[in-house]
Amino acid sequence: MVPDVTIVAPFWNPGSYFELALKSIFAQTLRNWELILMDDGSDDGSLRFARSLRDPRVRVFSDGRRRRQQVRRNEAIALAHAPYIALMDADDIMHPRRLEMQLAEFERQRRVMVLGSAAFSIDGDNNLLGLRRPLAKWRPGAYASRGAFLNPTVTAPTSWFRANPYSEDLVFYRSEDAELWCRTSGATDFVNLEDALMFYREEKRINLANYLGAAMGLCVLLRRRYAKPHYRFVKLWSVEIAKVWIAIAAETFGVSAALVGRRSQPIGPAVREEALRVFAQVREVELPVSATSEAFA
Amino acid sequence: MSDSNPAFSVVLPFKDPGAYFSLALRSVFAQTFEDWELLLLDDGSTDGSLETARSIQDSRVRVFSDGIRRGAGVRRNQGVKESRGRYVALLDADDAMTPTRLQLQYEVLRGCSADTVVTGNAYAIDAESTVRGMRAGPGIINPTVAASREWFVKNPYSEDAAFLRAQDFELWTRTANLLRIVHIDAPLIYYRCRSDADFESYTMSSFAMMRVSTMYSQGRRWRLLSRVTAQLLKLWLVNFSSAFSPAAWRIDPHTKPLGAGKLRTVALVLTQIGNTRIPVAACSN
Repeated sequence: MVPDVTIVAPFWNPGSYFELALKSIFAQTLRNWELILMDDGSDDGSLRFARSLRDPRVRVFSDGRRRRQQVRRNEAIALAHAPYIALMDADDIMHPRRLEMQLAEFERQRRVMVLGSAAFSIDGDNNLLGLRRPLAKWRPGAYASRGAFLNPTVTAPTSWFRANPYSEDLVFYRSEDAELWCRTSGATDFVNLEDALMFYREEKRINLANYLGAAMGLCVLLRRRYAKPHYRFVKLWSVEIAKVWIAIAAETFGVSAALVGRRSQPIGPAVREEALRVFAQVREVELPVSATSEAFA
Repeated sequence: MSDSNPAFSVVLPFKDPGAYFSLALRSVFAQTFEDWELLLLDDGSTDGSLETARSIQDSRVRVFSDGIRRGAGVRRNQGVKESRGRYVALLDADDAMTPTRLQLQYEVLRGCSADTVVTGNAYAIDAESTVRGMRAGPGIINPTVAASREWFVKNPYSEDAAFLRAQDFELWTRTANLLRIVHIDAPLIYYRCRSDADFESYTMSSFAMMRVSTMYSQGRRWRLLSRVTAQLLKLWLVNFSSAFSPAAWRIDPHTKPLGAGKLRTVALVLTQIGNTRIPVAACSN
């Protein structure tokens, strides 16, 4: 039977986060999925753990090399059987209704679009930090900086992903998503659902290595795609450079946690309680691992 | 050639070098010092240069390729690992060596301890291989570097993609206290200064250098902040001004002009390098 949706999850040393990520897939209310686990040269035992999953819906691939996740996503997209691709990161956790609600939206709208959603942000210890809402509206051709989409929340038709692969240019090794959205925003509809359909992992402070890596790609992207008109380039360029300065200054003087906190909105007690209930529900899912494999810690 | 190991391994990574490749290769065959091996490390080229590399018929030349792009740092490390020479000399595929480069560096390295890194000056050449002047810096001109194989094994290039355009800067910052630099005050290479790739590579190297600055700040926060502020201001200005007039800022402050007589001599040598024969398979070229 052809699956309804292929979940594409590249992984590189996800460590202890991996188990919860996998549980959240097995917790989905929509059951006719296919999962492609694409190893990117992990050496922390997660490949062994992935291979211990006993479920015909799960396919694991590995060539032992580290080639970065955009390459792995493209490979997985080429292997998908379903008409839709749902992206997923190995350290994030899906809401159990994520696939159901996103596919229902495609059913309802009956058109080609890239569909993301809001997400609860969580820290490394699974504490709930707040709600992250990506942009609701897009102007065609607009510049997609950080936070336009939360990448792992995205679902889109397989044919769309195949026509618009991730750039494998090393410059975009930390901004491959922004590069893809910028390249396609003129001809594609982008929609974000209001519901939080993902628990999205955030570091408490700014990781300068990652931040500068992403900023490098975004700046190159600005030059390549947004050099004209001048006034817009100067504006976007100045904002990007200013952000980098603020990030480095804040991290250097130990106040970057405040900046990270500003990315999320606070959530009310009712929403928090519901989120925690769902999270606990995901935690209790039992993975169909073979008896020989030890628990992954 | 004898079976024994060569004195020098020339490590040359290449990724779509196009027309520049030929001059780099010829400059190796034009060396006055002949006890070398050449390691050609493909980094996912698609412009036919891999076929060019493979067509060379000389037992001193070895070609490596796995078809993927992993960055020059990874390839240089790979080259060092595969090398058999006592010393390793770096070269980039769009540059070329002066005929006496290996000779000069060999003389110095022979009498030095294993932690010695020998650097030199460079002639700046443009996209048409016309000599524009000479440069002695700033800092270490990476493709002029030669050192013992042992040194390169101990101090590999970072394989992090963040340093794509500043792997050299990262390496020299990291090893600043671990090495003895001997600078030969003579041009050892022809260094390609291209304007077409300027803005992008400038942006990339700026970010990589900021990353290096944050990594090795050693808690000196105000110094780090002032350095990063200066780097960002420069980056902002360069791209800002280039958006309006691309030619305005292309003045290279590091290149010193040469006299007309000197320029003629250098051009003549460069022509000779360009005419050096490479032993290739009959069917190719």
